Amino acid sequence: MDADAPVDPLRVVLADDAVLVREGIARLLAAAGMEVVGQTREAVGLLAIVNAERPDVAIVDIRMPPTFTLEGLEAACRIRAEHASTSVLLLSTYVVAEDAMDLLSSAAGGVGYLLKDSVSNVDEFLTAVRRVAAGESTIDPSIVGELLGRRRRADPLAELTPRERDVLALMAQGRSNAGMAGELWVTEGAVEKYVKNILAKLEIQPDERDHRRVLAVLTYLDNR
Amino acid sequence: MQSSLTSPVAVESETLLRVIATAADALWVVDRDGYIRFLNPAAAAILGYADPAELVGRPSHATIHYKHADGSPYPVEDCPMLRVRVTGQPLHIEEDWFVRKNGTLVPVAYGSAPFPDDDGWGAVITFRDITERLRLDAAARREALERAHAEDVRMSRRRIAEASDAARERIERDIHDGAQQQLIALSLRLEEARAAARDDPEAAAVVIDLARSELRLALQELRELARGIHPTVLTGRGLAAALRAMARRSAIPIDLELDLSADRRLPPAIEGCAYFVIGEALANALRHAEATHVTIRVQELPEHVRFSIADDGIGGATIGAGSGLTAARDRVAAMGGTLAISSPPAGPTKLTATVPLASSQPAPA
Repeated sequence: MDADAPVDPLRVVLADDAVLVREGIARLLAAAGMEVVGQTREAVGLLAIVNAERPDVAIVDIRMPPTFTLEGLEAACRIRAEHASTSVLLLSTYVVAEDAMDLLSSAAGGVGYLLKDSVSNVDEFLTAVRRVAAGESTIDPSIVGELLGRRRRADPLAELTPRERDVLALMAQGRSNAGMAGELWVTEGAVEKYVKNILAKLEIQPDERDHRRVLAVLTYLDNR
Repeated sequence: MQSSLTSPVAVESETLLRVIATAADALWVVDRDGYIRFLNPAAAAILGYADPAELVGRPSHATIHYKHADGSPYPVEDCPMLRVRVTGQPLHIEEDWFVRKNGTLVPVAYGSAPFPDDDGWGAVITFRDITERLRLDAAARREALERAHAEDVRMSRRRIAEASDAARERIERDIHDGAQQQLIALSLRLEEARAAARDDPEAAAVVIDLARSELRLALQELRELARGIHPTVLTGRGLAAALRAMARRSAIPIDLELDLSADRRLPPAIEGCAYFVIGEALANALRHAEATHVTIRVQELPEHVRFSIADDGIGGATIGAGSGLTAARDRVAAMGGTLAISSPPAGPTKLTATVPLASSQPAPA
């Protein structure tokens, strides 16, 4: 989608304690013309490298030593808080909606949450890296799928038309109106109308900023 | 003649009285009107009197037998000890309580027999202090209880070990039938691609795409399997988040009512226990109860955690051999808690467990 490669190659830092995965991703990024300026296997090392290198993007595995629980997420939130110019793409083996929402809440954009499997879908992965670097937010479709899939006795989502559900899913993944228009082969004006209808039906406060919209939609889906 | 008849008897009586006075067993004689005629020093000692003479002439029942062990009054008409004077039948009581001088009770075993007193019947009573016997009995009962409890614990441990073995077997089978076979197929697929790469690169690309989608399936399956073994969200974020994730993935709607302190995690062992038991109950509701809706409730009390799983299914669930609910009960018992199930034949089923917070290790800071 983002065919135009930036003039300056994106500078990326990688943090993952699984060496094979880390090196695989590094090769993949290098092949796509990005520059891997640092690699580490732990969260502590990551902060030092980001301090020194000021990369465009940090790609971080959520589960790292020493406790293998939320180290990556905590590091990601700190990076976003301390380095406005470094975006963060968080990788996780499991879909954990709470992790995605913590990450989204920690910043005003420039964050992404991807399932680790998605890395093998190279084009989508690279697109996610570039979008996050550009300050957008991106959420793995499988998280959105899980939240949308939750069964409720009286489900407000039943009010939505199939098309509106498609738009809702893309919105929850962090797509902009323009992005959705491209994906769904409709005009941006039509997308705007869908979005307005959805937010009205679900009684979600509209927000012009895409990032805030993602958080609002995910929170809504999780709490419905 | 007279003296030859009376004096030996008189001597015998003297001897007899001395014998009775020094006997270890307590002796108590009541006249036809229920008054104490005689007692030996052993009887006085058990009842806390220094001198037997203090008691002679006092009403027997009203002095030593007027209340039960629980303190309630003991009416004389109910007393079998003195009734022998009417029935003429001796009797033996294994456990009763006499009142001491200071009002405290002493446990005794006694025998009471009628004896002719003037033109009526009195009673002669022998008794023994059974404090020591009761203590030993209680100790034996306690020991038997402990033995029974130890047996319960042993059985429960055995079931937990067996359940864990069965779970490992199931995991092995799942890995073998699933991911392992998929990976073998994948390596064959890659072999196929390598062969094709030389002559027909386009065909090779198609095969590699196939391999990739097969690999994705294998990954998905491994992920589900790993999550089933232990959900990482439970370790990382605790019970509430893990239950929310469970609810999101559930095939039927689940209402969660979580009354847990937000800033504090429960001890890991309790979180694990609650998650396991709730998961087991949910699986039961889906598999056997034909439930269409489940409510999960978790409540943190000052000293306990209480959780319940209620469905709208057909009921009839029991905790029996081979049931997942037996494993759930063992798991709760291992934490020092209790598990109760209500599941009438027409439903619904509600399972409630209460686990003490103190029995497990403190949560890491």
